Amino acid sequence: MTDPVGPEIPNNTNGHELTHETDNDGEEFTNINVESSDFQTTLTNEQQEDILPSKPKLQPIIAPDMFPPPLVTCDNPEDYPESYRKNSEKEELILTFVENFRRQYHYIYRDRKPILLTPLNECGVPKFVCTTIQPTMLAFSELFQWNLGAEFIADHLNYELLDPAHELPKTLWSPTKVLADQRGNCFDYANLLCSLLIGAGYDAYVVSGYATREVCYMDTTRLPNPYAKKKHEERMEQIKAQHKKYTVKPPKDLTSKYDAYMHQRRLDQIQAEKNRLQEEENKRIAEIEKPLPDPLYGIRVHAWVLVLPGKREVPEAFFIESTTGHAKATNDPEYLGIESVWNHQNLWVNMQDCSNGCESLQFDLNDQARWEFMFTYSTNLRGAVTTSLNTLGGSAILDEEEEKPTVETTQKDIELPPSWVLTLNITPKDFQKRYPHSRKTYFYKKTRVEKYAPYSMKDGIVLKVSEFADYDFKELIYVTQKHEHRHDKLEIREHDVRTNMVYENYLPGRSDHLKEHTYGFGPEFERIMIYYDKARLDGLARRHETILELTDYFINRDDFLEYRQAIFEPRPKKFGPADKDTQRPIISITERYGRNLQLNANDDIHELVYAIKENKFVMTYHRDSNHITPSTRTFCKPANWNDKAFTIQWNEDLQDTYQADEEFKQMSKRDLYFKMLHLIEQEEEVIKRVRKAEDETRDLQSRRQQEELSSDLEISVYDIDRNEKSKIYRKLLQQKADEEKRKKEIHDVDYLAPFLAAIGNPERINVQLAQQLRLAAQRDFKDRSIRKANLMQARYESEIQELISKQQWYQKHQIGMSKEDELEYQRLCQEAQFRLHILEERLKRHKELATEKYMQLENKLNEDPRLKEPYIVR
Amino acid sequence: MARLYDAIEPEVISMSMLQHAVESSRADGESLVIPKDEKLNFSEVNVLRLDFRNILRMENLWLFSNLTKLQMDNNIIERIEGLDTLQKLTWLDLSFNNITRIEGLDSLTELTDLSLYNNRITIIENMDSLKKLNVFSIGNNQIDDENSIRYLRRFDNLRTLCLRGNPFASKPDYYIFTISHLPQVHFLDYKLIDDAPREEATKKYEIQLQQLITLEEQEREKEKTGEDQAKQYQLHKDAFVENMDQNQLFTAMFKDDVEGQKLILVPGSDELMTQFEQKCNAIVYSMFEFGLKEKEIRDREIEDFWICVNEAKNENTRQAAAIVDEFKTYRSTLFAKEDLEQQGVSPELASEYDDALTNLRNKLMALEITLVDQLEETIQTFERNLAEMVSNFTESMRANFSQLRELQAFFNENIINLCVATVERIMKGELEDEFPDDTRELFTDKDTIMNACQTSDEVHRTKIDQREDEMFSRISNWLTTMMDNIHEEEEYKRNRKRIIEISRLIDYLRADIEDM
Repeated sequence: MTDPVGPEIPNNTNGHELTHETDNDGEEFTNINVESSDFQTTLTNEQQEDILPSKPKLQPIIAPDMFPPPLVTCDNPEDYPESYRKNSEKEELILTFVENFRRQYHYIYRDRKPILLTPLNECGVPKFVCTTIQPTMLAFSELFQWNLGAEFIADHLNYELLDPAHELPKTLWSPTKVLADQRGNCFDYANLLCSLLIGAGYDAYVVSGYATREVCYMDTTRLPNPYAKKKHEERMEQIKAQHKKYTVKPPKDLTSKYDAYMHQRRLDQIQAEKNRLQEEENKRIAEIEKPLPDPLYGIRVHAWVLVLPGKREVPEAFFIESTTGHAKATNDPEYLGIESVWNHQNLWVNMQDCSNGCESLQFDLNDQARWEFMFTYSTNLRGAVTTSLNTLGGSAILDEEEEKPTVETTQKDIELPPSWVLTLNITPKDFQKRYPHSRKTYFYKKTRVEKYAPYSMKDGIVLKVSEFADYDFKELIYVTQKHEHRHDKLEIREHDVRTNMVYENYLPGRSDHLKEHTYGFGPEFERIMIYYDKARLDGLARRHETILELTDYFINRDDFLEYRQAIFEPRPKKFGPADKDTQRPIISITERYGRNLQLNANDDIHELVYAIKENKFVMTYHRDSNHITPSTRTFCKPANWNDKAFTIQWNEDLQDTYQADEEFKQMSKRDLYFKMLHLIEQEEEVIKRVRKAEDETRDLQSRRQQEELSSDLEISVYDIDRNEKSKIYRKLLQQKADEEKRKKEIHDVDYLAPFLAAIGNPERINVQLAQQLRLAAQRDFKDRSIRKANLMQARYESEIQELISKQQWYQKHQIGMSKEDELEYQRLCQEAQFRLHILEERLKRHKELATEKYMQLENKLNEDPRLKEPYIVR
Repeated sequence: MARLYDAIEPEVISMSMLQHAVESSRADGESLVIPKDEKLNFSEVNVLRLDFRNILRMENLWLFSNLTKLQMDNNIIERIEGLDTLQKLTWLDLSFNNITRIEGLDSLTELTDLSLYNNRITIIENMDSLKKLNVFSIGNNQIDDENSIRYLRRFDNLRTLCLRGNPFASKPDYYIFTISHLPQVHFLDYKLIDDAPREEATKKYEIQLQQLITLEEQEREKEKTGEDQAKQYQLHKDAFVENMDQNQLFTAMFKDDVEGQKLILVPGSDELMTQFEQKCNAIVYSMFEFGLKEKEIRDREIEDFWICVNEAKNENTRQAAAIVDEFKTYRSTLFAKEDLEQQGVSPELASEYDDALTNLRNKLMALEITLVDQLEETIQTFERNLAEMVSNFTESMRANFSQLRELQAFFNENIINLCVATVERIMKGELEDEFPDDTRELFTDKDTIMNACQTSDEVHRTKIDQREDEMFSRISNWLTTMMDNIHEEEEYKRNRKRIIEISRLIDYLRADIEDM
């Protein structure tokens, strides 16, 4: 065997030997001339005892604190399953391998720090780190993507620091406990995230290494706010400079080149000055933001996750900082070194120089010069080809300098025992809660981010980003809130504290189809409302209201109206509360229309100004593409226009027309006259519309206030946990079912019970007793029917008696009776007759049913097992 | 019922009648508030009522070019006529007249409602151009014919139909026949047609309908191919190579050539003939293809030109409009100031405004002059390029035509040789019986045959020359017409219009201040 390390080991030359070795049941085999500087676990499950003593170089060197006393870190270890509390045989074996590996590693690399191999679990049992990873795929589609999964883990847990910061932790909790407690240190985070990522099909590894203080402390206050609004990238309008064959020559440029040059120079100077200032400012900011020097720089232990390319279309290797859920490049300066990486199958030790941090590290784990693996597999994970199927050199390790021949053992693959951790589970409830106690707060540079689980807050808030002007989070400047499931469909509210402006964004589904609402507080009120114009019947897309103006913008209207602006007179300044009821007088209303292609440009109105105060209409038509001026037409309202009693007399002075072209059609006087009448009518209509728009904005204000107060959350009909209605409904169903059951029980009432009770509920009875019981039951039933019939009969008779006496009384007093009394009497008679009829019917029915019921009873008695052999009653 | 026209004197549509008709359609008392226009403009009238007037002839209606509704019921009209200029008519009522024949409706393509109720019409015909017909009333007439009903199948938009009072409508199967044959009609004789009876009726006439539909489809197809062919032909014509895609030229050469037709019956000429035809056709076809290609190039050039010209014009117009807009805002601010002062225009302000106006005028004029220069230059370039293309085309075609001529000469030589040989052989007494009589006459002696050959040659040459001349004259015509148009429209007329517009604007704006 030439090279015991790596997947190529079982090549053809040694394949035979290896099989031979296996057959010979552990005959020692010395490996000669191992050139590799690598070391290796050289153990087989059968032979380690033999091997160890045979290698004097590998004498165990046991440090006093190598196996610290078991440290149980959970309150109730006995509640844990056995795999948590004990090591199986296989695990023990693996632990021995690992111990061997560790010793060799320690021996060869005395100056390197120990690596995390067998920390204690929460029950104080040492467990190999690889077996602590439990690849799991959970039933949440969100966890299937690495970025969402990492974010979830970062949100779901509370972070705890390592203590001390420069040493590996003694314990590593199982991911199940981490999930249950919702807290953990960086190793717990990485371990859990790695379990999920491997479960989701990623090629993920836990990395144990070193990082800066900021990373270790999960200090994000120097990172820019991830929720900062992306600034609109101004798209440069690319004017295609197509030079066509017949493009006309541009007109001569007669401006002075010298002037332009001087102007440009001045602009350049200003720009340079600006740049300089900006640079200085940047420097100053960088100075402020620079972290303080860290005495423990470079030795702070940290753990995170490495994702290698190859699976799930990952193009290149990258890190995931599991504590924040952010992806990082593999050359991120925050990471200062790597000791080892592992997944659920193997562990690799980094043999590369980390003096430059992780910048130059290569992540080809098959590269034995750079990564030293713990186990080899014949069917290698990293995709190397092997020829032998079930053999491999979990080869003996040689110290390079010594060149000592080591024992090459023949063995099967080292098979890692299945993870001792139970399958991970997150309940949907916990998943929805997402954060510990349904909320979590993060700090970024000048930003505080508060996250809430849906439905956890009464106003439906799920995210609140507060931006500050300073680094100490004192001076609030901007707040962004995100809401979910609100009845008023409010999704985002932004509050600019400095200008006191509020911007709100709504989801579709409001009755007024509001989409965005921007408003400020204070006297200088200005509000912009943007609507879902497709949902609105009037096609309103935007409304802009200031003190003296109300402007509407429309889209896609049949009448081509695009814009309407009303200008109001300033309200006379008054003290006291402004009374909103009086309407502001309108100075003018301007409407603009789009081009209606079915009309000539010259007949198609573009702008129509109702100058209400000046008693004028100004119409501007669309400009024809061949003309440079649009036609205009102005009407003055005649003096008596408002008086309905007078007919308006046409007068040439009432209108003034400018036509861009002589050839355009001239309107006849008649048309002009009717046009004016029409405009006067239209004006009224338009004023009404403006008033309506005003009312609408006022309504909106009050409605918003109401909605703010009653902030119930909407619950989906599919959400059975929260939907009270469905809960009530289900309860009702349950109740109904219960009632049904009870009824059935009542129906099956035991007719023998009273008689059995009468004889003291014996366990058994004899024939005579049975006979007696039967008779008693029959007799009882008969008695009861007769009693019932008698009762009815008696009532019937008494009713008749009463009727008769009434009739007699009537006949006596018939004369001299008032009409009302007579009517009263008749009514009473009718009622009595009705009652009689009912009683008669009931009696008849009783007679019919009694025999039938009797037969039923007899049948039941005949079939009752208690009245038959062996007469067991109870 | 239509009255007998000899009972009352018929009337003529006169100017006063028309004026009266127009004015009476307006609201009462209108003339009191609106002073009358000096002259009634008939072309603005949309609706005209001429009913119960004993009109005999439809005439003098050509002034109403914008008429959409014409009511001429209850007259004694006998012929539909004089409607050719009323192309916007959508509504025409000619009920209760004495019309005997449907005619004169060909130009009324917009017509949707037509009433010919109570006339003396026997056949529904001559309505093919009324594609939009929606309501058609032909009740109380003399229609007695299924074909008239079938004729109505072509009106896809026909929804309402009245046939009551015709002899055909009294036939027993009238109703089911009509509803089955006119599935597009919803209302027949004022009643909605139900689906169930229609289905039944359709079943009953299934076979006939099937046949009818097949026929109609065939017709439609024919029409379509005809249209396509016409389009194709137009395309070829625009490329100046019409009738050159097949052997039309060759056939034409021999068509009028009496002698030649005889000559080619000479034994042994078959081969010459086919050879000649093949070569000739090959050349003609290459010319045809070349022509189409050239047309495409020319079209692209023209398109390029127009795109650029329009771009330049639009850009210029936009700039000018911006200047005008700017001036208008300036003006409104100026006058707004004036309003505040509540007094007449001060002389300083007036002079300022006047200066601004002059300035505006200068700016607009400068823009216009720039555009004129630009367009002039571009048009010149375009003209040069196009002329070059045309001359290229001509040159190349000329070469082809001369090839054709050579081919003809060659063919002629061969024929002469053949004929001479044949004559000699006939002289010798061979080949006696293989000739038709009239051909044999030619071969009596050498001179006759030479003459015949020459005549034939002449005819062929003339044909080729004719084609050539036609092609060249047409293309040069096309070029001059187009260029003249461009010069006229783009350089002269456009400029005039713009200048007028500018001065109109300036005048209007100046009048503004003078009023004040």
